[in-house]
Amino acid sequence: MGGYHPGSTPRIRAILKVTLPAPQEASSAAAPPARDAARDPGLEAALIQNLAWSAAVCLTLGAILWLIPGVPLAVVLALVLGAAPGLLAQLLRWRDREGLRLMVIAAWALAGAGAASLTGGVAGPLAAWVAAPLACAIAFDRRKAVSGGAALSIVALAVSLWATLAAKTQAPAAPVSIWLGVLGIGSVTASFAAALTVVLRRRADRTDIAEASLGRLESLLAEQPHLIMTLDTAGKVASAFGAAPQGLPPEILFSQGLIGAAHHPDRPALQTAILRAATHGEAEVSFTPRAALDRQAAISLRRLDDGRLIGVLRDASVQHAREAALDAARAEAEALNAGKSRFLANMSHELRTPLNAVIGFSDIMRQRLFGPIPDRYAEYAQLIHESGGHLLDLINDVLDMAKIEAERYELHKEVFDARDPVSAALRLVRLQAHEADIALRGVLPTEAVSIDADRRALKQIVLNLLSNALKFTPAGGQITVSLMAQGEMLELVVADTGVGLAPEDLQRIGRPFEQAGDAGSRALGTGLGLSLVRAFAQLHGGEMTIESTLGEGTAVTVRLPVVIGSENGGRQGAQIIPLDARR
Amino acid sequence: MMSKKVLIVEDNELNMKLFHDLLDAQGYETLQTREGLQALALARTHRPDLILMDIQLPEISGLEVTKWLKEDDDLSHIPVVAVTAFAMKGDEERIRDGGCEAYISKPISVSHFLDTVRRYLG
Repeated sequence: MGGYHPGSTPRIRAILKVTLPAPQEASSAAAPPARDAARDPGLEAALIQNLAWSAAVCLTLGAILWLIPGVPLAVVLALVLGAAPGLLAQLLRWRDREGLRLMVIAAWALAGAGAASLTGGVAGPLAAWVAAPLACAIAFDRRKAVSGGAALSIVALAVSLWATLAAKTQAPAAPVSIWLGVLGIGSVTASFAAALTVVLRRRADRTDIAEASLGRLESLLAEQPHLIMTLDTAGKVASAFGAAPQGLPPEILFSQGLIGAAHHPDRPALQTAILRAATHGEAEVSFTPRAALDRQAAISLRRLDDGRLIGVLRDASVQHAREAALDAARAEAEALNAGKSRFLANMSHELRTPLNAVIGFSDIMRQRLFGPIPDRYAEYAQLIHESGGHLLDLINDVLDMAKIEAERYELHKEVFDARDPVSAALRLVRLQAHEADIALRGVLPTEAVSIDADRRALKQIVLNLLSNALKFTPAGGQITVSLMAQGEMLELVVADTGVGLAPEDLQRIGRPFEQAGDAGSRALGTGLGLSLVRAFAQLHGGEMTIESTLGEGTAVTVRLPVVIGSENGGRQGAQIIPLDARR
Repeated sequence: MMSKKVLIVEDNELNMKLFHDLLDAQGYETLQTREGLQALALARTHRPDLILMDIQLPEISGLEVTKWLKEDDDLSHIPVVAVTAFAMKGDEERIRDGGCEAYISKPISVSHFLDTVRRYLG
């Protein structure tokens, strides 16, 4: 029905197996339980047939007893036996069990054999009843039951034969015999006819259901939005269902194959994807249809058990356009960012050139290099020189950040004692701290800590953290710098008793050009200090963390995996003293 | 005894004045040019004892001029001290590899500048 076929019938079963692995589960979950007797029409028919048999036997018994005097006891017994299994079968209405069904069939064997043996055996009028178990089993429509019923019928036949040959039984007299004969042949014939009718109808129903679900699956395949196809490893398409993307109508796919339907430049990629699906089981690829060069199609390929491939082909033009737009936006953003970094680098250079004159001439003056000047002028020259130096620091920060952002900063690693740049930085700010009435404490290891790192970067880290701490710590406060080595990790902590940071500022801080607080409360600075510390730490494969409480202080910790040998640490390692031994 | 001669190659007027004033105060004679190409001619004519070379010149890189100087057998003995506002990592090596004897970064520290100059002028 809804599929596209290249002439012959589609190999739909393979598709169904792969794409819809759960129809049986689904139908069994939806259908009522099969053991429910009331809802099993086949069983219902079998039970009616059983009941009808018993009713016919009872009617015959009544008629014989009423019309014919002196009916032999054996005949009465035979008819009672013949009526019993049909009544027993009615138990299945309440409890339908496989075992009970077999019991009913066995009861039919017993009744058939008994009744026949009581009325003259195989030569008697009820000989046909040996076939009763088979008729009942067919009515139950179970393969196992049918073979069991047939076996029991043969047993019943054997018993009747034995009774006849051993002359243990005798056929009743003529009128009774005729009644019984009619009953025997009639009941068995009617039973077989009824059972076969029921069974054949059920078979037909099942075929109808199967065909209907096949039809539903086909229409499902035909109406789903992608084109589902089977193909071989050469890209030849065997069948296709569903909606074809623009530029890839099934006729083209059938006549030219998947690869032939693609735009030339995309064919190798498609070929590769097909081979990969054939060898690895799955692959995905996008390509441009040859018949619609402005479109983009995508196919997902999977390998089937029999080695063929199944492909789901869909139009990916919109997705492709979106991805292309995203790529373009990203490239543009990156270009902008690179441009910004280049601009900053150039700006820094342009700013340094006039600074050379500012710093140089003021340096000459404050040193009174060319002769005496009044003290006040010398002081001004000193201030100009210091401001120039401050400006230079800021420009250096900007330059470093620009280089880091442009990914052009190269670490110049060397082996040195980590304490050197830390004490150098402490020396540089000691005077400043003293003037601001801030206690500056350095806690450094007593032994050298050899590290492999960029010396300038480490000094910059300490200086930036110290200068931040100085900015945000009020008079009377304290700044502690501690350095320690733990394994290969160098840990530097700069802790102050300053204004601290609000939690929302902690989030922002450390990003370029961000400072804590509102504009009014901000200290002088570019906001680059912490960004640089973080960037330098990351360049070393380390990290920077900030802990802060508003109004109490801030501790910035930098961890760098750069220690190559700590004499102190080594000795400590050899001298681990268990806790309890210390007491 | 003749005073030592220093050739200053520098395109910024203020910096030129700064370097000249400092050297002049130390009793050195200075030759000045803002162009790299002219620097080569001046060096040939006046045979300075030291060349202060700005690396970022408008038309030609100071490194290029230094290369020519070092390739010239008559001039290669003259020490070249690079003065530049480039302060990137690797610049120093680049400048030394280019044949410069020393490197002073801008902005200068006056004492460091004079120390360096004195080292090459004796």
